[in-house]
Amino acid sequence: MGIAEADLKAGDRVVYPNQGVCRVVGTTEMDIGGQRETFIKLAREDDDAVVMVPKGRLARVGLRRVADTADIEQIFAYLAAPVEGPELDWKVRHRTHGERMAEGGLLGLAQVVKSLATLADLRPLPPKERELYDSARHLLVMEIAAAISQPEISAEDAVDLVLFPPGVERKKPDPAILADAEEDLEGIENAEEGTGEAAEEEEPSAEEEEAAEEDKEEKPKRGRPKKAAAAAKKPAAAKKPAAKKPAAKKAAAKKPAAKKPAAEKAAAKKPAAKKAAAKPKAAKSTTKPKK
Amino acid sequence: MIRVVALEALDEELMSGLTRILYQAYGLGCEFAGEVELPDEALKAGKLDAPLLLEKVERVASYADDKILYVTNQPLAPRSLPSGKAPTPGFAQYAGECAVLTTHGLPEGDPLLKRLAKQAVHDVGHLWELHHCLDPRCSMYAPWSPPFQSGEPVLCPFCRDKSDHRIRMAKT
Repeated sequence: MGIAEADLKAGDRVVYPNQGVCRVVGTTEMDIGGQRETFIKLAREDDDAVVMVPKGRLARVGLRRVADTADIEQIFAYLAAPVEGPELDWKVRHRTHGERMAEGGLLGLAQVVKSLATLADLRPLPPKERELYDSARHLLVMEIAAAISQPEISAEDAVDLVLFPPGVERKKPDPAILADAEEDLEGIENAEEGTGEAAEEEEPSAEEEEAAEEDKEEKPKRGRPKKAAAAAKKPAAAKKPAAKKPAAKKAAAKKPAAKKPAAEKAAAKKPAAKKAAAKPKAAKSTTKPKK
Repeated sequence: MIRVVALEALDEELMSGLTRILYQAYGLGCEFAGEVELPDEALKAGKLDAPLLLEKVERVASYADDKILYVTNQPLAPRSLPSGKAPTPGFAQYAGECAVLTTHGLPEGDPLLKRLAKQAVHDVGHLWELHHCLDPRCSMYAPWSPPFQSGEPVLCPFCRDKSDHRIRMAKT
């Protein structure tokens, strides 16, 4: 339901995606990067913030007219319809909700609100999704209020009358679904902190890092191998080749220790006799590069 | 500042309890500002038309950003909305100045204060631009739903943070 420039006149109510209901103030010309451009000036109804849209990009930004009563009826029918269950894959949910918010359609907003309300039946929403729910709900309520010419609170109540019908107890979550939802919650929380699956593949896990640190700490305790100790006592000139070892090689040398699985860690902590047997090998590996 | 105004003679102890709970919920000064006359034109067939009442009722002197909460014993007429009839235990102007709530239909005795305060916290929340919440324990939950009838008059952390932010951003 795009909008053409010729259709707009001052005082018209339009919807700008992610901004909500705006009123057309008029047109204005501005110099942008040395070019003279004509803008449609809009005032957001929430707070009178000014939104300027280039004349030639009205359809591209998704500007549209406020929904009519027939659209609103469809929205209520959609909200009242039973739903099978929430999308539990947080990645799919994150993507689809983002797309629907960016498109700015009324049905898209209703889909985000209903999807998150259904998810909230299973467990509390994580903060990012709670914020998304609030934004989507705000845009939905404001447009419905503008469409039915009623106060915002009435639009709010109208939405909740179908989402939470009076006298109806919310359904109890199925424990099996709830278990999935908990995994899902962990996923989205990790994504918010930037420690998602992709990050896990590149970086060693906390356990592996601990193991690497333990190895570093334990080596001096076991006693430095004789050859390595002798090399350490050599003059500075003798140390130079070791110092010139490229960083990449150093990292490569460190990596196997870091990726040491838990089983090997356990083996490394075995009795002293086994440790002693392992020592000559370790000494060889440390002295080799210095030759 | 939140000003609680009675539209009829109401129990002073109830009003003082209400102001105390509103202060705890929003961290804002709250006082009982006396009584004003109920506008006759808002009363239709023994029930009050809440939106009309808020238009016609006398404003008590207040600073910008002050919120006025009117309390009445008269029942509020349910509103006809495109999705059905909305029960109306209270009504607020979203992001506005005034709200009205009724004690009609609330349980008598001890639970009255808690139930009235929960509705008051809900309506003042709308004045501070809060929407309905998904947390059944929060006072911003849909007011006709069963979990709203019980529980404490408190806000969930999200609604509390949002209202705090709005209050901080207020002009005065």
